[in-house]
Amino acid sequence: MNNESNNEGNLKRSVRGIPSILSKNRTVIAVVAFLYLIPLGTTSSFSPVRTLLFIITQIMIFGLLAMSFDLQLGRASLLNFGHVALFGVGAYFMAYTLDAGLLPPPFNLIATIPYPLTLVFAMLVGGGLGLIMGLTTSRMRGTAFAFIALAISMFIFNFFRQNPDISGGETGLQVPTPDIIRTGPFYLLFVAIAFVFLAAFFGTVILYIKKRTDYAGLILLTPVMVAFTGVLLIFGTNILGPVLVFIAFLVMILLNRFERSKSFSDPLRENQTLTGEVKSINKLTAYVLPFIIMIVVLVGLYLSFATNIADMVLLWIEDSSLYYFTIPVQFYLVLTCLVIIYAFVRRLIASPFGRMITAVAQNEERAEALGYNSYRAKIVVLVISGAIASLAGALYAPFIRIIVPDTVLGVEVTINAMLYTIIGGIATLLGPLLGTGVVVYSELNLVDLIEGFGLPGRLWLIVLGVLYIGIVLFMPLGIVGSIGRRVDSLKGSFRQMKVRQFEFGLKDADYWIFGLLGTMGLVLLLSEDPRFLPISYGIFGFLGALGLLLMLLFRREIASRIRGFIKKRRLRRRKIGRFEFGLKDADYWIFGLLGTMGLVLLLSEDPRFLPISYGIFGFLGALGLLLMLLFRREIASRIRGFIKKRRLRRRKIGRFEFGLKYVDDVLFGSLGTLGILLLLTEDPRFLLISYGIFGFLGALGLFLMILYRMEIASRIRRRSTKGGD
Amino acid sequence: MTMQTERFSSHDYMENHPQVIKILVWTIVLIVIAAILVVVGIVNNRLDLAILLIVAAALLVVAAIVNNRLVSAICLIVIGAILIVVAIDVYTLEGVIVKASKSFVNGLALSMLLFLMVSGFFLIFGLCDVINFAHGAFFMLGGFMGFVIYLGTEALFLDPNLPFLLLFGANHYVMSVFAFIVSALGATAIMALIGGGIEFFTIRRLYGNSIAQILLTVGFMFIITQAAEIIWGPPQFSYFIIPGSSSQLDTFFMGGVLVFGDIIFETYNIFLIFLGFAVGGLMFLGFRKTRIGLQIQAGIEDKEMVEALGTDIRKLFTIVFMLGAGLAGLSGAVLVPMIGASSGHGLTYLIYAFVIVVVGGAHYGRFEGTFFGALIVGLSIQFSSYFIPFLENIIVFIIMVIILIVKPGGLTGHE
Repeated sequence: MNNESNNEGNLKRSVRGIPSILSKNRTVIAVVAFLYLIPLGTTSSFSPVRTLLFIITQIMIFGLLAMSFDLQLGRASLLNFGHVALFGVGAYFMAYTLDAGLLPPPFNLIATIPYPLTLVFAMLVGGGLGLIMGLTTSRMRGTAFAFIALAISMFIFNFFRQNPDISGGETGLQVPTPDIIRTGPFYLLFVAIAFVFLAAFFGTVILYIKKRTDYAGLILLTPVMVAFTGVLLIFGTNILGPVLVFIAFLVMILLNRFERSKSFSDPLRENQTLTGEVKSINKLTAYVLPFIIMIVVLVGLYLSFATNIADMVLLWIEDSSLYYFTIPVQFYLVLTCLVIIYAFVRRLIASPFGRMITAVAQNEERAEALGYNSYRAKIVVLVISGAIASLAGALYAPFIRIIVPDTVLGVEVTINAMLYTIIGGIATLLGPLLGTGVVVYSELNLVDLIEGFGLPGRLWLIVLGVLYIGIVLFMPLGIVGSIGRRVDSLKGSFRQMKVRQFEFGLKDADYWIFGLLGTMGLVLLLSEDPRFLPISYGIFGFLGALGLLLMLLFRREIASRIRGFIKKRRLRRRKIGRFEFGLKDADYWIFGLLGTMGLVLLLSEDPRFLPISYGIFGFLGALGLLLMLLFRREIASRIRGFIKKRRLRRRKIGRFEFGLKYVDDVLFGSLGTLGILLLLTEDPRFLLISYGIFGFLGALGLFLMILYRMEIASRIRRRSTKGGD
Repeated sequence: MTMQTERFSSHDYMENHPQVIKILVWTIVLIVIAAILVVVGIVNNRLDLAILLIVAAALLVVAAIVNNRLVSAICLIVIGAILIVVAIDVYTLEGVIVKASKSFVNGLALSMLLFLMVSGFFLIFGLCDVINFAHGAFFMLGGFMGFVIYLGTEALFLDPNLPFLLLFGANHYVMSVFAFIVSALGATAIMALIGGGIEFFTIRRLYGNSIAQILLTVGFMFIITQAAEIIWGPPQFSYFIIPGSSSQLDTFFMGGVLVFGDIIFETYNIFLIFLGFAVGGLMFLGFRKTRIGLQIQAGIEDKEMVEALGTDIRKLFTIVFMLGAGLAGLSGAVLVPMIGASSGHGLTYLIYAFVIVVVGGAHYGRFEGTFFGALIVGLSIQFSSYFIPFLENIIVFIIMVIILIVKPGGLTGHE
């Protein structure tokens, strides 16, 4: 009885804990949801998304490897040079379980283990090998552990290379794709998980809005939704879904305003409501509304991808052995494993055990004096990271299809994992993943670039080595570590601002939105899909236009900023006042010239000039984004001054100004409806117009949001205080 | 409370009787070995040999467990006898003699080569506490340097516009001797400069941070290996000094073979043995007699004390780094006529270097340990390649594991 109620309480608590979990991991959930969304775009026909999926899968697998490497190096400061053995053992184990003919009779019984279970078994095997490695740490203290681990891995490597009948030798071992990967229900399971994550993502969005219940947040969301709708339009083949999603957000804006107008609660302390009436409204907005919105959104998403999903299922019924059927499924599988491992490692590091590992790594003697068993801690870390590395190997074998001892057991893999970890950042969670992404992606592209210059493509590896040495010497924290530090200091300076309203309106939103937009554009651009190009161009063009506008508006601030920066950097050369002179005039001169040039080139409609003009606008856009992030404060104060000036003139028509907000919405609504109608006609001539309308809406929405941020915030405050009185 | 004290705890028992653990572990090892041997024996239809080998393994276990030196020695002798009997049974007596003598000479030559290389690695590790992962790459680069310098020198010697041709006349043998000496010294000097430069500009910043040092040296290994692969091709290519083909001279001074009946030795391997002993002897002398040698030796034992006595330890570090890299270059250069220069050598020999240092005694080990470690590794590689070819690449690690289990600190090191 007591137990039951306890369970119920636990359940309730965990359910109540979901919102806080969601809002704590906003970035991670957004990224994961986006990743889960990508494969839904694949269909049976030719789809360039698959190349992207392939690369991302590879990045995720090696990211897992780098993560497990970082668990040893970054957390326990164990440098394991035999790390590849853990990876290779997993890969070979998976190969043996998938094909019964590879091992001699008594051993091929492991092929009877069903597929998803073999992942667990592979983890067990890797953990066992990690245990063996861990046992040697008692013999070899300190850095000498690297020796013996390397010897173990070389032993395994040589063993496999010298037995070609079980390892495939030079030609490699053909690994079949597991049967279950080629089944439709398995795919549908992942689609369901994808929708769970999408729901979580929209949950975070709704929570975010609820947390900052002002119009700024809502208007801010509009461009995101526009961009999102655009993505859906491109990915999906059904038009109804995106429209539903869009409508859902319009409804959400309306309902939120409705709630705002009736609610008596303080937006900053909405939980502290007293009267019953208010409570009932809050219940509506707290439970009913979000769920309705989420259901509408999910239905819209489902509708937009229904044809794709149906296509995939049909493909399974027709011929499941097709190569391109398995790619999205493997992507999903790897992604799911990565998410689980990420959550696990995050939890592990935050746990008392994780703290203990750090203590042992920092000073083994002291930790032992405090009563911790450092030997056991190291062994446990090795077992866990061995299991993760082995999982990466087990996922890698059926993914790459041919495994050779050199590629899954060679020392190069360890060195690669080390490069990923160091470049990404030691002892960070996202660092290894990011480092893997950077290195793998640049490997794929820099080689072509260097070969384009007529140099051997392998030169890029030397560049990588030099970069690596530079990072070890001068930036020991890696990419994530260093940037994280800078962002922290930026955030710190941001928090010290005295203008409270500003903080209120823009705190999280600006880099959230711009970052998301920029990332979206970048991802779309990188996918090299001709269908995505216009959208990514649009996003970058929009950012570029905004940047140009801002740059023209804030030339003086920018100049003074740069001057200050230079002064800081070159305190010695203070006397060169000429630089000031040169920069002052130069800015709009140069940017204006560039912009005009790009515009002229664009207008010339010569296909040869198009990339150049795109490049110019892209450059301006990137610069603008950078400047905008740098000069947020100046921009805000400028706009505030600007608005004040404007308002002084129109002071008498206070009514009109107030009404403008409604006019906005009506305008937006009609425009949006027009765009949707044009889209629905499916006429290619109208398609561009509708793109334009949506792009314009997005741009306008974002601009208005920035412009009226102060206004909005102050108005809300005024109203809420009025309500309080 | 009394319950707890009276209860038999296997854990406590083990703690109090370490001998029991030892015996247990060895029994398990023995059972595993026996099982493998029985399977192999059944497969090859030679169960008698398998049983003989199991007896040998059991004797090895006895030798390891018993603390009595006499018993251990007797056991080892019996093991040797059993192994010889098995070998004679498998290959005929003549075959055994041929294989044994060949593998002995080749193994000695390889040991000397490894000793030259690993002594550099050991010096850097012992004095600076830097595990130099780039050492294999130095070695590999030294090989290429030796190769290139040899070819360049002989081209100079053969150039009619230069006085060398007048000096040597058409005596290609003398030319090849001088070209070889120049190539060895040149490779040593270049690698010493590179090693000193790396120490002076990068590693110097990172003393005390051992993991960062390792990461850094791995970066250099990466860069050097990749550069070598770009210039000289992937590890599949090997560069040899072949008279008349890659080399313009019609002879190499230590080419050819020595024939004793059925047994054929390569002259260069014998030369390498003497060279190794000579350089090793010189180094021993240098460490005993010169001031810097004594300082280095003392520094390996106790850095702080040496520093306190007024030695500039940083300068000493740079010198040791130059010395170690130079030795790697020298060994790489003299390797070329034996195995050839290849961009894949770096990693292979780096791993041998690890094994040798671990076997010889990694922490506070002595220089002799490196010598014996190199002997063990070189001889075991060659013997296994002639007698048990499938173990050729693995035997080193097996020996390392056995030595580490018996003596955790290696042959001469502390635990």
